[in-house]
Amino acid sequence: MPLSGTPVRRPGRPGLLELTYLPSILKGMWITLRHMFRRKVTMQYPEQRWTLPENYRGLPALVRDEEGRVKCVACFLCEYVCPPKAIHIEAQEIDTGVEKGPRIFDINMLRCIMCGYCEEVCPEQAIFLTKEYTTVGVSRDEMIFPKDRLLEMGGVRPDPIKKWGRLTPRPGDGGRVDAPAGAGRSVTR
Amino acid sequence: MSGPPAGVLTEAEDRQSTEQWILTTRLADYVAWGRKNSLWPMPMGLACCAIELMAMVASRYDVARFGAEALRFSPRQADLMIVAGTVTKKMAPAVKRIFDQMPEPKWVISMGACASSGGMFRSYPVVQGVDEIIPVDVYVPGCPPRPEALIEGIMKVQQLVEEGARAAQGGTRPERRVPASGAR
Repeated sequence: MPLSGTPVRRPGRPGLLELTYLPSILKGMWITLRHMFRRKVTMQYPEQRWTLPENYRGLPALVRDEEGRVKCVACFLCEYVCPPKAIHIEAQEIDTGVEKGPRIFDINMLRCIMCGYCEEVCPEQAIFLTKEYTTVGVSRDEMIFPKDRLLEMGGVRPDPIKKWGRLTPRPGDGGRVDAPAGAGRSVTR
Repeated sequence: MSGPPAGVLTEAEDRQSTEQWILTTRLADYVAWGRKNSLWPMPMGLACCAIELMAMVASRYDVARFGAEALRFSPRQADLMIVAGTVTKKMAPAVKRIFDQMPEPKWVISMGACASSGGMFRSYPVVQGVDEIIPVDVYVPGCPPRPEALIEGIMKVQQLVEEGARAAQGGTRPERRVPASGAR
């Protein structure tokens, strides 16, 4: 079998009908017409929104527990694990005397790549990725979200981990001290 | 024949009927209205963000609804640069030159983490934010941002175009923001 194939030839001279271009025009119009009756694919964005999946990773945010306390204990794990180093934390003592809390908790949303490592590493489940994905800003400073804004974004997320358990014993608990349920947590209930 | 004969209308009535049909506006507002609804983006696609940029232009998100579908690959015909992707030190002179070749007035969207701040590339070959070489008007976070977020950015630019026209009427040009220094 020869290695070279047959070369493609140009089509021959167009006929009289093709010279009028009418068949080509009609063919094109037919395609346009057909698309008019197809299912519409365009999402009318600002009015119409996409339904996000449950595990969508948007901008990260801090959360409070159901009693309005900041869950974060400023352990710096998220700052450590963050690939682009978008998180900046400064710790402080808090009034309750149990653990500590963040004095400054800034996330540079322009650095953040929404990987979710912070959520994954957090031992107190204090940082979560929200479903917020349309925030834009006009300056860099505006896009560095401070603690207050992050808490506002996150809202309240009650869950079983309670670092405050030692302060407010549950009725019937009787001062019982269990072993910590999760690694890295020194707080007993 | 319709309407009353000449001389029946009072002056006030006459003016009212005229104002019903004539829209008066300031020239700057009119120009800004035209500008903001026909932004011609210059796609500065440097990395994966460009895929989302293409998705924004394609039929699902269809930025033609905002009049910005005419992506011009010639900077001289564009007035909105969308920097989508990692700006390396090697590419930076080209980005800067293309921006300089765009005619005024022009706007810049910095799309995604890399273009906005360097993102996770905290390293010597990457420009830590395209605003170190060209003035950026709107930052869109994300890695990459969804097309909706970019549409949001274009809507923000449209808003800036309008505000710029108003500021120009007041005699002051909207000043370009200098990127803040310090902790990033």
